[in-house]
Amino acid sequence: MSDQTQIKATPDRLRRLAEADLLNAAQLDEALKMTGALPNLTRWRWFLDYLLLVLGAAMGVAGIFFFFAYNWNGLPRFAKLGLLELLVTLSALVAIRMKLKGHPALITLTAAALLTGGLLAVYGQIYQIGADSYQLFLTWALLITGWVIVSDYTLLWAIWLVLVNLALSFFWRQRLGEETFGFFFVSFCILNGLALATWEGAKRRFTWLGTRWTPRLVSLALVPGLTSPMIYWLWANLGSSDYEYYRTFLEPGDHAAAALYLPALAVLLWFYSRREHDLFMLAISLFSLMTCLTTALIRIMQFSNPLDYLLVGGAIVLQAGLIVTVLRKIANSWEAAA
Amino acid sequence: MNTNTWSIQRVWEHLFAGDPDAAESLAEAAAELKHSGGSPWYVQTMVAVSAWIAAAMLIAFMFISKLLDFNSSSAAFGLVFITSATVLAYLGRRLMFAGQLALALSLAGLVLFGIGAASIFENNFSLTILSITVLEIILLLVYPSSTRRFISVLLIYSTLETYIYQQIGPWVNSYNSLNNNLYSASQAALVCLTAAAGLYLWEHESKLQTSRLRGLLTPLGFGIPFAFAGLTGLHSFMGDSYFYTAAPFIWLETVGIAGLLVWLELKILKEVGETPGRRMKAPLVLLAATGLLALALNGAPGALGSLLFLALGFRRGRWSLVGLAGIFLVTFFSRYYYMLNFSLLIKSLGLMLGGGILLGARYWIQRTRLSETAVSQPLAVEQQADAAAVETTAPAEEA
Repeated sequence: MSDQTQIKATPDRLRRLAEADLLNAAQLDEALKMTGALPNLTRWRWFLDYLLLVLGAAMGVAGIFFFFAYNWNGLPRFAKLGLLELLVTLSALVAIRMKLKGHPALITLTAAALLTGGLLAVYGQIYQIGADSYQLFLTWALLITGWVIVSDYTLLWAIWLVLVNLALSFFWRQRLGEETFGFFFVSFCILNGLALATWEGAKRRFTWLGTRWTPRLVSLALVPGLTSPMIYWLWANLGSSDYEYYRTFLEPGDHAAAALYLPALAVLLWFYSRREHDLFMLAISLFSLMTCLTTALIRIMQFSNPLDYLLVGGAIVLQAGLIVTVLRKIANSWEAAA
Repeated sequence: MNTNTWSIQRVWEHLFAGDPDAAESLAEAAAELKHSGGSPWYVQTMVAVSAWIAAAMLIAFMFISKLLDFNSSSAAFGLVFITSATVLAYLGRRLMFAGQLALALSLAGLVLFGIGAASIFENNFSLTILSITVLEIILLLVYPSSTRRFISVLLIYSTLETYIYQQIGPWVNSYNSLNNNLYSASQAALVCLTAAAGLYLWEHESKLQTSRLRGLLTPLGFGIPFAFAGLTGLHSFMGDSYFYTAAPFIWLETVGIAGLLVWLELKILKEVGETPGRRMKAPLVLLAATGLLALALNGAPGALGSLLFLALGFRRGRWSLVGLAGIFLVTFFSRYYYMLNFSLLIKSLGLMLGGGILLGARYWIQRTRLSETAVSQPLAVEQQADAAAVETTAPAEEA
């Protein structure tokens, strides 16, 4: 067991020490200040700078999108395309001139990437090319891939992944139809699972991948993507023969998606408890498991007896209690080994 | 940005330099840190959702099995449930399932109490609501769980708002213009008081954290921003036609929140050393910028309030509050933009102009800072020269 006095003085730990009466209010503030948790003049300047930059860029890009969405007839089509092309080129050049270093450069490059989508949309609007939505998102993602790779910027990677996910979803709806929706979930989970695995695998090599919000965001797509078909499968398969009707709707894709659930969840639980300590990932995985177990129980119970309600309620309390206890024990073991 | 490399021991050495008891308190700190703190917010959220579902099952069981009926006895059962839950939560803090069971019982008790209270007060909605408010205030003070207290904060605000609407809402029976004014004024007061409460709470965070009220800090600190967003969002999202024909005192909300924002900005400026005097420019610029922002966002107090909570979150190093306020800001601003009664063309031009102004302001601030640095550098060289001169003359004077 390591020496607890040598662990990092995070704001959370300092606040806990204050709650345990080991620090008074003045000492807590002093400790938070010296560890940089409370901002000084430099950090306030950074905050203001970043806020103005992000809000300014977001408003500007949104304004440009809405301007072209208005489809102003007074503006000739070549002017529309020319203006957007000019904006994309200028933004990219400015970002490159700033050597793609620092927030201003990266946000300018993000603006260029977003405006590329605007350009494609306006192109489709003018020439009525009859392209499906998935083609727009796929082309958009492909066109900005180069910028995404060279940027080393998590936000741009997240935007790219959202575009690919949108392309996949629309492709399934518009081309393959809802009959094969089970396979959609399989491909959706494989896509996001690969993204997550790549992220976690490459993290040690590239320091800019160290941020945790992006993999957590991906898991917020992946875990519900795994859970939804499993719930559907349980709903259709469990219960009495009265529910035979539901089973007729099950396609091979639904079985495949359900078969993916437990192995994928096991990998998530193993990886985030043993290899990369992340309580958020464990929490959503365990609550997903709880949702599936509760669904199974609800389906089996039938609710012909009032006691069934009590049993399901009790099972929910038990499962939630177990999850909280397990998570607390894991967090304690991490803290002790820190 | 924050590259904190401080260990607990190093912090202790700085805070308790020369204190003979430092080693002992450091050992106590190490023992305290061997265990993790409470559950993080996402676990608490999932636990709360589970507890609501479990409570619904429990209530369904009681009514379907005819153990209870929709009459006044439900209130007594509800109170029994709530009391048992509170006792269980106190006594079973170390037990595995006690916390979850207590939470589910407490929520089920609340619903039963509400049903019973409606029967006791013969479906007088206002009195029923008021009784729930009182119950939740008591629970906020006595129930030993952040999750339940957070729910209490939201319920207190929800019931209070419903009560006010029931009493003076302009559309309760048929439209009443006097009520419209009264209701708008009461909303302005409630919104401003809520924002002020949030400001007070976070400004006194450390004091509260080390006081006997420490258990209220997290539920109130995060519940109040949620309640604020709820109050201001109610009118933005549910549509004016239901709540007002117009909100005549919405400007009061804007003025109140802008006042709180200015107060906070001046306090921050004072703390970081940008005091009025030689650098009078900074406070004046901030005042002018806040005034302009308030004018532009008049009619969207939620957006202005989100900025207040954003600044508070950053000021206290609470990134979860920063994230929450950021989400509120984007939501309120988008809604405000959507509600503006202009064509898409004008609105898009307005957005571009707004973005341009913000980027221009950033550029201007950077330029000003660069020129300030350029002016202060020769000054610093002069000061260094002075210091060197003092050092060289000092030994001679001593001699």
